[in-house]
Amino acid sequence: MAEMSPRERFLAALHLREPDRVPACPWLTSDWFMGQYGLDSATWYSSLEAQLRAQVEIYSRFPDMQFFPGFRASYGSTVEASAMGCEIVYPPEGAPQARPVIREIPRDLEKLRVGNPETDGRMPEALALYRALADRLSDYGYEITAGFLHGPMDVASEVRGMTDLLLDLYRAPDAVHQILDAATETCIAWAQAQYKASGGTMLHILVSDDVSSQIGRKHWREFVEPYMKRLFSSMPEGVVGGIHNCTRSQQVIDLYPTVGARLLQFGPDVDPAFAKEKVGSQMCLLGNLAPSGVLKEGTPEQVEEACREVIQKAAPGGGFILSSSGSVARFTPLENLEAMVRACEKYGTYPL
Amino acid sequence: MANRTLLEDVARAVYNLAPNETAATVRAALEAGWGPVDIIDQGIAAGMERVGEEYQRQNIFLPELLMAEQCIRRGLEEIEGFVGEEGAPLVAGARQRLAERAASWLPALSSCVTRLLHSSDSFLTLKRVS
Repeated sequence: MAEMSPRERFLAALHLREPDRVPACPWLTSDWFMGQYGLDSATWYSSLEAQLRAQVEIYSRFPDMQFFPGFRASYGSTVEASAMGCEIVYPPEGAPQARPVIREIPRDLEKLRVGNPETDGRMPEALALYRALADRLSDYGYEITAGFLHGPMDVASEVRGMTDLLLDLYRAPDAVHQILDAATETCIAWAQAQYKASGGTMLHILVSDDVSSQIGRKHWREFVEPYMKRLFSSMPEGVVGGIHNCTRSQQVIDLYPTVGARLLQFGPDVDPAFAKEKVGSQMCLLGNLAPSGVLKEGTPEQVEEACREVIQKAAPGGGFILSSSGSVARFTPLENLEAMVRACEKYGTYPL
Repeated sequence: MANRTLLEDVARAVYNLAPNETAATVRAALEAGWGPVDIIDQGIAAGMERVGEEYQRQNIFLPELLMAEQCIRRGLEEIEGFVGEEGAPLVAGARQRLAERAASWLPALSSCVTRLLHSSDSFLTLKRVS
């Protein structure tokens, strides 16, 4: 098989085919970039120049990697909640945090609103960053390839507060549905707005579903499934919709394809062989090195060995992308990212 | 000797994740002459242990653990009201023991989830891990 470019390799796996070899795609997020460049969160999240410079430098330095998610605007994890009316607090280190807006039920339900990406919360600021990044990236021969948003349940957990939301599954299920309904419409509008702001170059949009790791199958079917279905059926045309769940998802993993997701970033708590068996024929799997384990602390040789184990379990038949699960942790050495590429060359060349 | 079934009723109410029922069964046990220590250890804690076993087997999840915690709170409030200021240290000690026990069941929650927990209101068990 002729050697593929990193992008071709990534796309082949994304569409459940066998590339020439397993793509190595470290999940570089804001936290890693901030550590690598010694930037505080206020600077990183507000500075187009900082984000542009950092991403172009790192991605140019490793042309053999298809970075995942690749170029995108970073704006922290609270943008959806901010558009729904949550106050946002900015700790000196780390990502912004949302304060719940629905503090008492039913009293505060009248405060529920669907966020408008052009006018509400931090969304206009994030869109401006997307537009500016899309504009400038073309100077370097790159384009925005990924969108990301927090799924309805994750957004609801910020709008209501995680503990109260989980209790409300029993105490006030109707109110939870109302919150999820507004969160879903906000997510749909936000996915469309991101896509448009990128200039239509996005290949995939990943939707986080981390809260689902803490709920059972019955609750997932009632409170997550219908809203995820609505969200994935409203994705921009041609964009692959994916789910990110970096914690345990064994109890619901087989349900993910039913909502229309075609990519699954799964966590280190899930055995890659289990994930492959349950959904590997319907979804491209992306994972699942633990960010704070061997990838951060180990030697390059140990990283290669960890990669080999994952590749052997999840790569046969194609549809697999080697990545970290939650993110690449702050201060993870670059040598260990290079070790991921080497492992794919050594152990992930097809046919396996 | 008071009817032992009353303590089993308390344990069952916690296991069934029913806060009001827990309060009612604790009240019934107190009125029947059971002491706070017996009610806590053989009723509330026994029910909580069964919840913990189900959680560790992944038959139930965090919402159920949170509901069990609500039951424990309601049960301890009943006892607190019954014993008054004199018994407050006993109840506080029991609360602490139960919280530590429940915390021991929880896995190390990932940063994805603890990020969300940071914005949560208080829950004695989750505070330990977040």
